[in-house]
Amino acid sequence: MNKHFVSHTLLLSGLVLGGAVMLSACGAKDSGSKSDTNKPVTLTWFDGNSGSAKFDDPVAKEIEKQTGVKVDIQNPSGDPDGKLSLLLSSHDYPDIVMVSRSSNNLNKYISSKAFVPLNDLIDKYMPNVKKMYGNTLNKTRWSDGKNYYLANWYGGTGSAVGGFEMRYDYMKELVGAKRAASSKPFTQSEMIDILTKFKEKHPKIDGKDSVPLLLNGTGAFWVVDGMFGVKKYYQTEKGGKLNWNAYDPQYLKEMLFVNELQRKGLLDKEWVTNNDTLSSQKLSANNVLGTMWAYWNTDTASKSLEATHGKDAHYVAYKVMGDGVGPKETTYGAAGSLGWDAIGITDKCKDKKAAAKLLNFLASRKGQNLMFWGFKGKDYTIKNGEYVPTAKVEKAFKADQDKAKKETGITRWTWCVTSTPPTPKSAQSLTAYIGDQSMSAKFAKQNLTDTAYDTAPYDSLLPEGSTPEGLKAQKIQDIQTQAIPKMVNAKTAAGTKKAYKQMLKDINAAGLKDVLKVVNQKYKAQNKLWGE
Amino acid sequence: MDNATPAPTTQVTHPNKKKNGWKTIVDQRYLWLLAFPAIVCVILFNYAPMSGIYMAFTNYSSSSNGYISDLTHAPFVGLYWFKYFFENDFGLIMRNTLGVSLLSLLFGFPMPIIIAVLLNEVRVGWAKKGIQTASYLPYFISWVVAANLILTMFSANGIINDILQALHITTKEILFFQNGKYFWWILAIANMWKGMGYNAIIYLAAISGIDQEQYEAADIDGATRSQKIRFITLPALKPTIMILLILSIGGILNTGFEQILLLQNSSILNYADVLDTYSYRYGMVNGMYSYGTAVGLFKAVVSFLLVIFANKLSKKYSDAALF
Repeated sequence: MNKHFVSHTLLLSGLVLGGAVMLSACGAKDSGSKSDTNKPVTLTWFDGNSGSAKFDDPVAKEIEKQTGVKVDIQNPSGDPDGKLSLLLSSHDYPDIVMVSRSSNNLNKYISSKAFVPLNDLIDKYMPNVKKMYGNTLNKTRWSDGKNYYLANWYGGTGSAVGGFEMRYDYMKELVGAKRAASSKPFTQSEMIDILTKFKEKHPKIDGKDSVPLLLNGTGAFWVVDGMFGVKKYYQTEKGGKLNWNAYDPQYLKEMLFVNELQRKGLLDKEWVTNNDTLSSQKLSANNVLGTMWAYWNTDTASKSLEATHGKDAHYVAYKVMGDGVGPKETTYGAAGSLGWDAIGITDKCKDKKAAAKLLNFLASRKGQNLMFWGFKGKDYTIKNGEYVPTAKVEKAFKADQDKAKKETGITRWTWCVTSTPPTPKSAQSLTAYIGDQSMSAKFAKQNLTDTAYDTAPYDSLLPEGSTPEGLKAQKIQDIQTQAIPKMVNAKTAAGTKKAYKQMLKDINAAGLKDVLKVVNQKYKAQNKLWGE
Repeated sequence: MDNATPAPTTQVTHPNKKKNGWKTIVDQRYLWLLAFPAIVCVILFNYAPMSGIYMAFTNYSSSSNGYISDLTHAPFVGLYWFKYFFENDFGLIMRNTLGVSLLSLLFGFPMPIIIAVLLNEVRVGWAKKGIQTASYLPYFISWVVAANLILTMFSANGIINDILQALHITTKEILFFQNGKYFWWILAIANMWKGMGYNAIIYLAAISGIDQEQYEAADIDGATRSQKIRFITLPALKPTIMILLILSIGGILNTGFEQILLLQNSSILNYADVLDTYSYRYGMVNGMYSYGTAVGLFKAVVSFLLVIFANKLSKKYSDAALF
């Protein structure tokens, strides 16, 4: 072996080593500092609702100041559920993860032990959580009796969500000003009359064919479900066995109703191809009487119509009862008594104590006020027990809500929050206070608040994705969504019934029995856990 | 580089003996050194992820123990997921995939060639450049924007229906996106529109490499323009056309993902659900990793076989081949 060879070999091994070091450096994670030192701890947090927001506003800074924790927000960049699924499969999830309670991801994060049990942490570091959540903590326990997450937006008793969103100016014209302003719900046949009258009176508007009712694709059918009191599962008695919702006799009635609208030419011909953007566009075009959607979904359209056609050219919410459904039996809204999201600390979190302290602060009155109302004095004041925004902040939020949110940080971060307002007189938050003043919110509050049902018992009952039953459940849902257009677009009512029967046959063939078995097992276990 | 490099005579002295592998590596160490980063990249990004293929034969579910541990501990289920796929959705999904991609190939493959050849005949400089730019602009429009454009254009009050009715071709509007039979055609045309200008660049480059003397000789022989295209341009393009055809046949199961996801709706899912959207919905959205992998693996194997098949055919009927 000569000198050159040795030097070249050394060079080669040096390069290999260098490469290895580089690669391992890429793989290494920022381990984060310990809370024992006084430096602020940085924790990563996935928030599916965060859009592209950064944790840099006054509220965020105050949270950091109060807890000594700097939050590094992980934005969803697209579909949050897809991203959460991907993060889990690649073991790349952050320190704290917020996941929708109704999504299968919650099951996955807990069963894969990505979420750590919080019970010890709650006992040691989270007195505020214990105080604020109370019995909710008992209800959000997992099947092993432990708490793996804190509910977010829990305690909802039924705020308005979706309904018939009708143009107020046309409603006044069609049913009279008094009836249009009243809180009395409409019956199914009354609504069909209104839609028919509209079509007769205004066959064309601005040269375009008028559209009595628009639906935002098959995704809008939760509102139609609501009109007929159809719930997530069909249950004949409280606590009894759960059946698939398609077996609810009301489900067929619901399809027959939309089919009737279609046959009478009262439904947008292209309802099934509508997506959020297209629906909003069509609603703004001035030739649509109404839609069935969440009341805030029509705000963009109302805003543009108002500017050109006057202040009553505004979509407002009405309750319509399906045949045989009482005014209290509709299920237009969902009151998530256990909240919409779940917030959990993951096993990746190096400093669980700091994470616990952060959550504890958020769950304090101080934390809730900060997130919902901002700084006392500067952003809001309390007058006779009612939380009221200051004039400056109110003006900013009315002018441009997104901009104001970004600048003040108010309601930009809503974590570990309860839906209960700070005082009985107050609105839930500053944005709710301002939102309640809008025409659509006022109508929604007047007509839709008593129509919600609690979805908490039915969340997360579907079989897990990694099981054969999970596959079957997905297939059944696929069949059902594909059957909806067939039932609605059938040429006769008999055609709808035929398509419905075919759908039941198909979902049974796809293994409904196996899926329901798992659903009921989970439901039973949950009831046992809740002591019901 | 003196005596450090052994003389290559070793190869000559033992022509019949198989060469010592390690010795060859030492002999070629600088070449290996040069290739080292590329080899590492290929192993790391192309071969290591392939370990995930094993997922298709197990019932994988992720846990906090890490990917490798999850994979080795996942219960082996053999061909269960494949069986489920073949027994349930295979026929429909495969029909849609092939329908969309064969139509896309039919429209999308010849179009760039036609554009390139025709553009080559345009003598006015600014017109040529203008047309070229205009034809490849759609390539840079995101599918999200393009999909909404297409949905609006093909809607009941859209421009397509307006034209059809104005020309008295139809009396009532056609609901294009509610009849599955139109979906494949719309998608094929959309794919063609989006890709034709961009794909023409390769052919334009190949045309610019043709020896100009051939055209001059043809001029002297009195060849017409169409004769020049037929006997000079197209034959010169043949190897390029063949290679690109092999590649597109290999990608025949790649129908394109975003456009289908964005244009499909539940009324036409029977026609609009293809392998990619199907494995995305089951595998990714619902976290059925094993099943999604099985469907994906099936697709990869078929694509691989198709490439080999197309390559064989090409070798047999023309000189161009990939390997």
